Amino acid sequence: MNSTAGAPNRVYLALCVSCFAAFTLMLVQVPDWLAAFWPDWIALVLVYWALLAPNKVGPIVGFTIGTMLEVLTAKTFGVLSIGLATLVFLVNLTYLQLKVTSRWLQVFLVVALIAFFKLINLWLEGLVAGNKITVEDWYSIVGNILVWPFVNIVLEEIRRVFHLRP
Amino acid sequence: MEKQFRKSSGWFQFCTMLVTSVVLLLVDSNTSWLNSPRNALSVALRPIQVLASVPSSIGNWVSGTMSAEPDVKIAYENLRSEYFKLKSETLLLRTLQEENAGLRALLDATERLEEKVTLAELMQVSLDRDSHRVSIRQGLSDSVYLGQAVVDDKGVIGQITEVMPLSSVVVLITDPGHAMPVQVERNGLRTIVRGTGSLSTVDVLYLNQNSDIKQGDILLSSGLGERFPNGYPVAQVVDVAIIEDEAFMRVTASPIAKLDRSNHVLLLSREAKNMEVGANQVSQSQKETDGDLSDE
Repeated sequence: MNSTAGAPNRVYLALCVSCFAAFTLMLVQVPDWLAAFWPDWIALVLVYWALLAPNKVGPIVGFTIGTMLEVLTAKTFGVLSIGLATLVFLVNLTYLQLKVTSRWLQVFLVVALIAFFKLINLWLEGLVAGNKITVEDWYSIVGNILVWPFVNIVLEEIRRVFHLRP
Repeated sequence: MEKQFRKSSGWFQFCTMLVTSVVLLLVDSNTSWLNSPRNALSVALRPIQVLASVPSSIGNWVSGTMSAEPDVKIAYENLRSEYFKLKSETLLLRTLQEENAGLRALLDATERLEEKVTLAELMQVSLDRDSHRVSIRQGLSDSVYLGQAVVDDKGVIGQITEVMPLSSVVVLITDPGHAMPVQVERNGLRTIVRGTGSLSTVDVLYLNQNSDIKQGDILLSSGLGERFPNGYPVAQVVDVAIIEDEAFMRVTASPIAKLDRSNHVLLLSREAKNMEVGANQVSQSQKETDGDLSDE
């Protein structure tokens, strides 16, 4: 029995609110020097909710959010949704292990999963648009590591507002 | 037992989504069937786009109001003098235009197509290393069309690659996937300019070792390929390198348009396409620019 089973709608509502914020953050225009380090907000948010409610937030949610992001950033359909569906699915498979590890190890593992998502994303974009993968594409990992604790705190707050049990 | 079931359903979901995504990817990268669903979704997601553009517009507003009064006065004086200068130049232009039409008629040449100009507002800028795109606030509802040329007051910016109902996407000339035909202003030498992924450089391709091109040459759009009207400045040559073992020269140029600095761009539409709409838009955009001037 999952702890959040009683409130499926509230999970989705909280997910929508946080994803809306994440979309905005992904689209915001940032200075050039920051752009390479700009974290993958949407991936961080999805990982959090997939950890909290693995029964509700599955590959379908990842796919849907990915498709929305593709429309917003004018990318080819499928480029992001495959990666996000895979990311959420991997978190679903390993959420028990991820939840019980120490904070530091959790950061490391989460960022490793997001790096895998990034790799899939870059591969597909390479296939579609012929882009080459360079070192700069991986700078965002640093951003993800730095930002994950704060994202966690903010999302904990959202979870509390929506009366969801951890 | 229940856990077993849940696990297999997770795998099922994952595989379904994977197959769906791959199908979408293949369809979208090879055909244009998915454009209309994409348009519908883009309208639904518009609030997010508007919200995301809030910080940059606040930034612009703040820097606008914070600038000291003398600055505004100087800017106003500059604009005023430029306005009168341009006005006198247009007078001259009109007589030249008539003269040109007369000469063309004498030569039995077809008349030069006139382009209608529409003012468009930037909404979102995404400058990755491998995709230089900006979104503008004008879309299908303003009769923007695919392949429309986009310029600013200095030179060519790019072309429309995607038209959605309320916005459209412009690919810049510095996008590594973008190439356009150009001509050297000095001698009419035709060549191609390709983006490099850096905002300050474009490559000039396929010039033989003995081609006549040198530092400082201005490259104009040549009008070949029927996307860009001819005669608009595109880039200025900054470096010409001849390497003995290579078939072509290595020529780099820097774009003339203010790719990363303008908030407004101009859309050029062919007169033949939709004359009346174009005329309406011109009067509208003129009103807007007039309004801007009087606001300053």
